[in-house]
Amino acid sequence: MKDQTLLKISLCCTLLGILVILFIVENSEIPESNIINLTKDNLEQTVSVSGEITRVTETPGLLIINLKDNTGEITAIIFKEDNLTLQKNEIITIEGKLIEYNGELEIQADLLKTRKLI
Amino acid sequence: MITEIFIAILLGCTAGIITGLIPGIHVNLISLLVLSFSGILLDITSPVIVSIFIISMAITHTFLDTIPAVFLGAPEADTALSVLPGHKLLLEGKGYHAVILTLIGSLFSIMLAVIFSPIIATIINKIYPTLSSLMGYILIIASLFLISKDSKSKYWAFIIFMLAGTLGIATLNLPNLKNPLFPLLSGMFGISGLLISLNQKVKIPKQIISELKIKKKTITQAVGASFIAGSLCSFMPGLGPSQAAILGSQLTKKMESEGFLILVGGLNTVNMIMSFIALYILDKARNGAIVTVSKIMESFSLSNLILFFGVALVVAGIATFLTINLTKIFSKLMTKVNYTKICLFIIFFIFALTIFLSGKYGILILLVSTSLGIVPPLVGVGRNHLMGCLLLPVILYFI
Repeated sequence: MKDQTLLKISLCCTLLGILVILFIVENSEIPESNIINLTKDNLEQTVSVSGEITRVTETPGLLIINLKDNTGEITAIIFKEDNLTLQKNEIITIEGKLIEYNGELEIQADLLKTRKLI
Repeated sequence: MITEIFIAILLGCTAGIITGLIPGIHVNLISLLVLSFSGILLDITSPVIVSIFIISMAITHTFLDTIPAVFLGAPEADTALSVLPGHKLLLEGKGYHAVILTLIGSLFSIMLAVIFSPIIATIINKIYPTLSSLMGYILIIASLFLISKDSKSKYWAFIIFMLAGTLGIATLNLPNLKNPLFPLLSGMFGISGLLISLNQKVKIPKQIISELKIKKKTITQAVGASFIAGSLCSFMPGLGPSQAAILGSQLTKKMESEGFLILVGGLNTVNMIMSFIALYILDKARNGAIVTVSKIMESFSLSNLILFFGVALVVAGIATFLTINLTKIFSKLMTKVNYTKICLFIIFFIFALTIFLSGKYGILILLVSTSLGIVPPLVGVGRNHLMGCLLLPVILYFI
């Protein structure tokens, strides 16, 4: 195959491929998990969990929350933004990477949705 | 303990032969497997012994990985820049010399890195906080410098850097894609090179195995540049040996193919040694092998660091012997075996591994990154700009 033809095909495939991957990134939804089902096998994966906040601890730059659903409890860390306020008993959904800290599983939240305030 | 250390070194060197010679099988992959089985392994032996296995494998890998890059045109990100000068020598029947030049680089650089490690550690310890706060801007300047240094086309260099960067960002944000770097880097630096070789219907001439004659001045300049550039880049995320090679080659006025191969060979090894120092003084793991070591070892003490330097020197001796003899075997085999069949087999193998390691999205990444990896040689710019796939996400993280 001539180099120029190969170059054109490669560039088209690259551009199209990048667009497809970006589309998948934008439109992919993480299925919700029960806290009890999160194990070390899911480490470094993005997970989504819904539950009730049982405790909020504030540190400079971070919010550490304990989240409980019908199956268990887990800690989640959230990088603080200016307008972010969370309260005990609030029902939220968080998406983020499952990590291990001091031997315990934690969620490093990327996305937070508040459902309703009890 | 001594017996266990030597067994770990020998097993590590054996694993390093596999990762070094088979394109697409990276040290990170075996390290991941070791980490998965660490529960069982730590029942049998200690964390230090498992770490010695990983380090021996990683060091052996940095000595041997130029063999497939030179003979098969199938490099990894770290050896991408050795392909062009290496391939040029291969087509002149001097593939053996090309690998021996990288070996000289690796061997002298590892000695320099170990000898000067206390000085490097002291300097990095002092300047890293400042360096860290400016990291995003330093990486932007380094990237623009690398693009501006491309002699063929700065315009194409910039486009490739940005496309690779966008692909890197998209790949790293794909939810639950396992081992995203495997298809990304294997496509850009592995399969693309093999496809170009197949398209050009490369015929390998008979390879000459003879004593290498090279000026001492060339060795001194290349090893010195390799040590300085490798040490600096080792502490900056996203800047790997390929970027360090471009920066390193600017340290000497004029560098020919021979010197450049010594430089590239050395950088890879310096990078590995410096990653021990980064783990010890900064508590930062700079590559997959060291990530595994940091997870297996509960703490990383000075005595561990000294032990690992000793292991690195022993492994360097073994790897030198292995490199010389395996290159001789490759030189003899290259004219006897069907190059097209080897390329097709490796492509198939990388595809199969991608399905196994990263699933269906992995295949998509592999196809796109292969397409992009084909572009730089066709437009005549350096493949190092493809490292935008790591640099751009890192820059965005820091600024």
